[in-house]
Amino acid sequence: MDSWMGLLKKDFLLMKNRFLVFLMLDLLAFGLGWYLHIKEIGFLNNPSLNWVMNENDFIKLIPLAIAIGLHVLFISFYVFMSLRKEGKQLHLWLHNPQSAYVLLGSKVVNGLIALIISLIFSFFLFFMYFLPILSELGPHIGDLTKLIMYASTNIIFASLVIGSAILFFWVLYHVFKSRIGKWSLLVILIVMILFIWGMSNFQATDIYNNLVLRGEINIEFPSFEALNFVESNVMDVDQGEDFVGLYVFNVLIFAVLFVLSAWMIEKKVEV
Amino acid sequence: MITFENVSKTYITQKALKDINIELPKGKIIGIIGENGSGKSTMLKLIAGLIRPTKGFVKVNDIQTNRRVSEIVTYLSELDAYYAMYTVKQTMDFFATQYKDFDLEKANQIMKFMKLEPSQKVKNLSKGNRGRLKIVLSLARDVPYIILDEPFSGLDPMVRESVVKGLLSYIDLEKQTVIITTHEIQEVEALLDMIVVIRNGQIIDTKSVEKLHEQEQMSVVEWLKNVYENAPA
Repeated sequence: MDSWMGLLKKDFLLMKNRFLVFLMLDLLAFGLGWYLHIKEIGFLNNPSLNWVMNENDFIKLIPLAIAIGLHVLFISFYVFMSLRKEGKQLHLWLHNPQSAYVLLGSKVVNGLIALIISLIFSFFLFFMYFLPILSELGPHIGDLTKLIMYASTNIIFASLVIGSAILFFWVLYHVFKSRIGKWSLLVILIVMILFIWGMSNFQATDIYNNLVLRGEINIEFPSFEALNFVESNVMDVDQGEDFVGLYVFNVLIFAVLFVLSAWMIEKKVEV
Repeated sequence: MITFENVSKTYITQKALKDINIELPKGKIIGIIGENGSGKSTMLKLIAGLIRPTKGFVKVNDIQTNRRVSEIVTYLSELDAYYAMYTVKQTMDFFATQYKDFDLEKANQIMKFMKLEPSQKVKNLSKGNRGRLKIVLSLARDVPYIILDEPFSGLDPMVRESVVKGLLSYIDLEKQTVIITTHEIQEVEALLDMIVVIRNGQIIDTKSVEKLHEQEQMSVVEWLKNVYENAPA
C-alpha cells in the first residue's frame, strides 16, 4: 500500500505544475466566454445585462462547453506528458520492483483523478454563468445534474480509452526505439494511422453494431421538453439513448491496450 | 552469484558484448574496467535487468534477470537522473516506499556522512552532491547486489574521496556484493577484490587484486597496461 501511495504521490508531484496549467485553461475558457459576451452586449453601457442570460447569449457558454468537450483528450495529454518525463530517465522509472501494471496504473489513476477534478472545476465555472438565473433553474436542477453526470461519464470513458491508446503507442515507440532507432517515430506514426483507420472501419461494420448496440438505456430529461422547439426545428433535447454495450466495448479496448502496454514494458522495453 | 552464459548484446547494428562467459562471486567488490564503449555499462544494465541479452543468459542467484531483479539488485546509473521536484529527504522517503529493504535510518546516517542537506531540492544540488545522493540511495538498501556504474564520473577529488569512504563504511561484504565500473582505478584500487578487464565487448582478463599485489607485486594500473599491450586491439 505504501509503495502504491508513494508512486501516486510521485506521479502527482511530477505533473503538479502541468495540472495547474490545465485548470488555468479551464479558467481561460470561462474568461473568454465572458469576453465574448461583453463584446456582444457591452459591459460599461449595460452593466445589468452582464448577469442576464439572454435568449441569444449562448455565445457566453461556447468556449467553456468546448473546453469541457476537449476533456476527452485530458488523460491522453496528462499520461503522455508524465510518461515523457519518465522517458528522459527510463532507468530511474523502470529500476523499480513494482510491476508494470502498478507503474502504468499509477499514471492512469493520476490522470483520472486530475480529469475528474478538472471536470468538476469546469462544471462549477459553467454553473457560475447561470448564477443570476438560479431561481429560474429550480425545476431543471434534477435534469441538469443528470445531464452533467451523463456527459461526465461519457467524457471519462472516452478519455480513458484515448489515454490507453496513447499509453500503448508510447510504450510501442520505446520498443521500436531500441530496435530500429531513428525510424521508430515514423513507424509509430504509421501504426497510429493504421490503428485509427482500422478502428473507424471496424466501427462502420455490422459486427461492431451487433456487438455494441446492446442493453439500450433511455435517458430522459422531462424538464427540458420546452426546449424541444428551437427556432422552429423540432429537437429531442429531452431524451437520449445509449447502450451498455458501448461502455463494455470501451472497457475492453482499455483493458487490452493497458495489458499489452504493461506486457511490453516487462518484456520488450529496454533502457 | 552473477553468471553470464554466452552473452551477446547488439544495439540495432552495433555489437556491444560478444559471447561473454563469466561468474562474478558473492561477497566481493568487483571492478569492471575498460575504455569508453567497451561494454561495461551494458554488462551492468544486463545485471539490473534493464536490457536483455540478444543471445545467452544473465542470471542473478540462478534466476534469469529481468526488470524485477531490482528486488535484490540496486543499480546506480552513470546518468544524472533524479526527480527534480523532491528534496533530498523526500527522495529518500520515496525510495523507502518503493524498496522494502530501504533502511531510512541508514540513509539518514549516510546522508549526514556525505554532508547533504535534507531540505535541499535535488534540482538545486551541485553535480557532486547529486553524485553523493545517488550513493546514499544505493547504499541505504539492504540488498545483496550493489551495481555502481561510473559513480565517480564528473566528480571532483573531494567528492570521490567521500564516495570511497562511504563505500568502505556502509557495505557489508558478508551479505553484499559490489560491482563497480570506473576509470578512476587508483582511487578504488584499495577497495577492489577482483578486476574484470573488458575491451570491444569481450572480456580479455580477470584477476584477483590480492594475488596481483602479493604474487606479482604490481598495482592494478601497471597490470592493466600489460594486459592492454598484450591484448589484440
